[in-house]
Amino acid sequence: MSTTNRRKPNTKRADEQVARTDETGEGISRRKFFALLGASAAVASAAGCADYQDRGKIVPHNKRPNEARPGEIVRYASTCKLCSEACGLLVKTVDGRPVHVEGNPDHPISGGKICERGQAAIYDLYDPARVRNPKRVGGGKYADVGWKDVDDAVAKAFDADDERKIFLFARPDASPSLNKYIRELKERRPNVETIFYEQFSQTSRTRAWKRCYGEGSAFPSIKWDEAKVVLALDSDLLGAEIGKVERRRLFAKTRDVGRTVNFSRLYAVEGAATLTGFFADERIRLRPEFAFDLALALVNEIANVRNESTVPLSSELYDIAKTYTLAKVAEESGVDAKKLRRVADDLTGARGKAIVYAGDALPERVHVVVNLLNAMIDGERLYRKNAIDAREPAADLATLKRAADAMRKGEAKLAIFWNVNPAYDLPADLKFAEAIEKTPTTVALAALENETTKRCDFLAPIHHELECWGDANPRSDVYSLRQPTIRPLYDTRQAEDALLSWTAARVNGERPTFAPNAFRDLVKAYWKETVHPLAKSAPFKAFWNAALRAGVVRVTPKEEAEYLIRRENLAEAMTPRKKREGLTLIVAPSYALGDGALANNGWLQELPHPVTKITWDNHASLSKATAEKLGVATGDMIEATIDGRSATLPVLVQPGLADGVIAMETGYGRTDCPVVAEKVGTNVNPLVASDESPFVITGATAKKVAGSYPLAATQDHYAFDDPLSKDRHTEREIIQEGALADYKRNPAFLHEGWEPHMYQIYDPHDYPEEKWGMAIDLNKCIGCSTCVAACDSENNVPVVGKEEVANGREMHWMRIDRYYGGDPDEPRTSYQPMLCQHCDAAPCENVCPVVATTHSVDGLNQMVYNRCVGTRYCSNNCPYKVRRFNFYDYRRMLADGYYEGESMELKRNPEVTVRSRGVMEKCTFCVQRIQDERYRAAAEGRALDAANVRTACQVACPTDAIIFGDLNDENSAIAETRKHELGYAVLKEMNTKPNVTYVAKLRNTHSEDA
Amino acid sequence: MVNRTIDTIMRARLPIVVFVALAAFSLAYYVGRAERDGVGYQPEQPIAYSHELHAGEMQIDCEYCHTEARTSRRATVPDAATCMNCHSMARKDAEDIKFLKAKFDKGEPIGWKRVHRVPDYAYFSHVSHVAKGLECESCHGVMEAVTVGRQAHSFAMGKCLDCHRHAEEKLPYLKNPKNGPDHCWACHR
Repeated sequence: MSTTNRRKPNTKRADEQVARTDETGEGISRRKFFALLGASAAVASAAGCADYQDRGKIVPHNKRPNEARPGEIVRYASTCKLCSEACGLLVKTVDGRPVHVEGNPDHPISGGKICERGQAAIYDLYDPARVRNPKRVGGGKYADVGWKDVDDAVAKAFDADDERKIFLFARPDASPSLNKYIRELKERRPNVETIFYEQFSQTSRTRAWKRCYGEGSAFPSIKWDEAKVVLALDSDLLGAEIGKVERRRLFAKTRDVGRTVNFSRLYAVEGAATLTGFFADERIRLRPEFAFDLALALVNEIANVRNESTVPLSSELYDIAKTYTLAKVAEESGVDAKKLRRVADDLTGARGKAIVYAGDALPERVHVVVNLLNAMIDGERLYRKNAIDAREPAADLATLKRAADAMRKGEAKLAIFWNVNPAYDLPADLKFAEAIEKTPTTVALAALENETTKRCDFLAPIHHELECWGDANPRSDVYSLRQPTIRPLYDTRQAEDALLSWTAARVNGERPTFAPNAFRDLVKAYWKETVHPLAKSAPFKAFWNAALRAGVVRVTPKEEAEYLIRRENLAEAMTPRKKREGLTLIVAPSYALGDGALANNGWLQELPHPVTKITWDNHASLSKATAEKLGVATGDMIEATIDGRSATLPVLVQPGLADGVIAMETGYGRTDCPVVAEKVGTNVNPLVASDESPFVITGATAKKVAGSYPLAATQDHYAFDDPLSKDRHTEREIIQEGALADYKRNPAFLHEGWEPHMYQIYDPHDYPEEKWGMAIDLNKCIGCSTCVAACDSENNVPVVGKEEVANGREMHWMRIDRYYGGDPDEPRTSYQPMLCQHCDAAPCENVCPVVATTHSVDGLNQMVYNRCVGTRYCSNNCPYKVRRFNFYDYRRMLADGYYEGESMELKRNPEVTVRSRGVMEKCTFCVQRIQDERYRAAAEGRALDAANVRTACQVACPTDAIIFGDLNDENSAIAETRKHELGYAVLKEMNTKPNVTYVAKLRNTHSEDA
Repeated sequence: MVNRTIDTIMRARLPIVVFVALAAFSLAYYVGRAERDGVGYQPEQPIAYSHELHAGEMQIDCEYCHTEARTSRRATVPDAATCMNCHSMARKDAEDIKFLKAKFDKGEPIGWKRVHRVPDYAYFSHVSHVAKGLECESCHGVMEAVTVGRQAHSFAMGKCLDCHRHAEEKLPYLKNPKNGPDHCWACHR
């Protein structure tokens, strides 16, 4: 765990790196290859001096396809494949290359939004580490083979005349065509068992739901936008949990300062410190094992003590509930009972508009109680009746255990692992690595090498989602299509096509030849047979083309769901578990990397964690009291142990954590994987066992171990409890907030007492046409960092690596500042996106000695890379610290020249200059999009319409917190927001006159606290 | 004696040397300017295509080949199929047309030597200019008069700004001449 074994990021200069020889000593290394490439280019250019005017060639098509317009942006509708949520995408392509991804605004679930992972997943398409052709694996070594070798091996096992099992492991997929095919396959070949699993899935939620509402029922979509009171019970519902995109979007509608009557109140009861908890109006620190007690105590309080339940309890349930009281939970867990009673007050007070949402990681019994609780407070009214979950439920650990046991006993002849990594992400007691080795034929369908592919016999490389066909039916009312937006870059296959060819029915014992579009035809057939009749549209061909163009089809389900809870089944599911003495470990998916499948994505590795702001690492978060008890401080190493299993990782003392809890994220500490992911962070999966609730582990111990470890955070300026810096952000009015009740009493409360005495020595600028401005509504900003990921992708922002982040040299044009205020145990947390403020009186402009940064006629603070000589005076003089300096050419300085790969060049947005060393850069308000609208306006012979200009962050913002537009247009949304009484400019006393303003956050706290 | 030598150097030789050096530099600077800016650059093309013949004599509209000039950032160089629209019939016997047909039949693109080039860091858009009524010849010269494509004007930033700042004077044929933007991010970003 020392820093030396972390290869990346390597801050060695490029020339030094090139000089180093290949570490493995095998053949010519990538690095060497690029060195040679560079040298030959230099020779070529020297020779070319004779014709220094040569400008290269223009190579037009031989026959240009109608839709191909060189250099123009074309968008295609598609569907995301990262998780079973299946959000709608609009893939922006230029010259046939996808360069950016946005949400499809017509999609009823995601509504034009995607998450930070979806935003960054486009890099995986161009990942230089992608496996480019099939491999045979033996002894951990990969050797090139042809597809025929893989096909033959699979066919041999598949066609062998015995009844041994064939396992297919895959990620939960919302594709109705695939699921139908799998069902038919199971009928045709009963020994084929398909297991859709994900490390973090909703299995306890779905199981509890079926117990409460019947086997045939499925979890409904919730009307978050109508909720008045939400209790998040150990749920990161706005952060990492499945379904977040829709929840963020809908929940934010209850935070509109224009309609404060609709303001919701969010309670978060949690042990860890999540984004949701820090966004909540009221946050209660509670160890997660008390979630069950609290839920039952609320049942008791509402049904028995207050007698306010809509649903009468059976005597059995009454008996169980009566042993739990809020006072008892408060006493045992150390929470203030008054706070818990307020939760009950609000839940019953907002009857029909209140909902309790339990976290995915909580066991089934908690979800059962929560379902009951929702029925008792009429929360069922917030369930949609015609939009219910249509996905196949993910497999639970018991199913996986059965499969692993069968494989270990030699009952399986073939196992196919499609985009899953059980050797890394499943609990160690399932012994999956051994199970793989005991199975005669194993094939991994994967895009990158990983822990599972290394143990298989074959690695069959698959397409990226942007090279794939597909469909999705995530919810009963929505069907969507996925279409390829680029020809496959390598000798890969779409996984479904490969599976179809492997498992197709044999004709006269002959297996059919591989058909590259077999799955597309299957999807098309399914749509013709099932979706087309539902849509009641004209001829199928027209319907199909329209569906491909729109990406999504909305249908009306034939039946409406009824929500009548079956109380008779519930008591048996409510058996409490004994709480074990000791510490509680919470293992959560990594905010950016999820279960680790995206670990090779440098952009996600470098996306600062929304709460801790840490990049390139996971760590053990502890509250101050827990840390003191264990005698550790931030940067120390700690060993957490449970039942003989342990993991050692660095400590982060985190404000707001429940005492006695160690929270950690998984997805890190990958070993048999490509260079970016390798040895980043620690693998905490060994702590997880196949238990009732594998990710909430009680009875753990922890001790300090030798060593220290530096964590690279993008924001650790000022110690939180240092009296000198404490609450400076509110004193300096960088963050301005108020209570909702205060605002209702006096809407002008924010600006009272402020009398400007400003003097400006420069003449103000004129803005004859447009004046671009932005407003960020802090009531809606949840700190999720999707905007940061979108900005990285749109503006060619490089990855700099951990050491450079530690040096404060991250290149993000946008950062989400997170401020802690008040008590370190119960911090009042505020988020603030900070980007170039495009000041009217910009301090950077008048200090540049070479006039590289100037003011534009439309209100932008321009940065001209070609003039910049890198004095950094501008950055020094910027009070917002939003200018980023290229200390290196970051495409070339990382280990192995990773981001220099020729495939990475394809990702770059051709409309934005790729900056090199020695140049200052910063947010441009997406000037390329402004110019694009100018071009289009000129081409169409109309005036520029400011509403058509939407910045990348604005489009990406899942809560629509970012408003952008022309301030000179009195009727624009931005001009309206600018006039709002809650609007403020950061550091207004400096008279920089920023063009980015903020809308102060209103906290819907209890009035007695205000 | 020494003083006299110094005197000669200071009064006669030094000014002469300085003058000659400055004159040589200025001469070289101004004489070489056009070439530095690429004016007159006329590379040999894979096919001896003549603008004079097609656009001049036969009066084929510029946009017949450069189809996207009015709608897109790039005017586009025509694909081989556009040439074949006529040349599947016309002048089939000429060597160059045989070459063209062979390329077209094989599906191979033709690599034309690039004549005009704006630097990478300048984002030029044809549509913004053509849609405002600019004639092609204002930047490209009278292509109808040249046999082999050649750069007629400098593409240096100063030349862009000449028109952007003095539209009325430089582009007298425009109906309502309006100066173009002259802020950095209009072109660089």
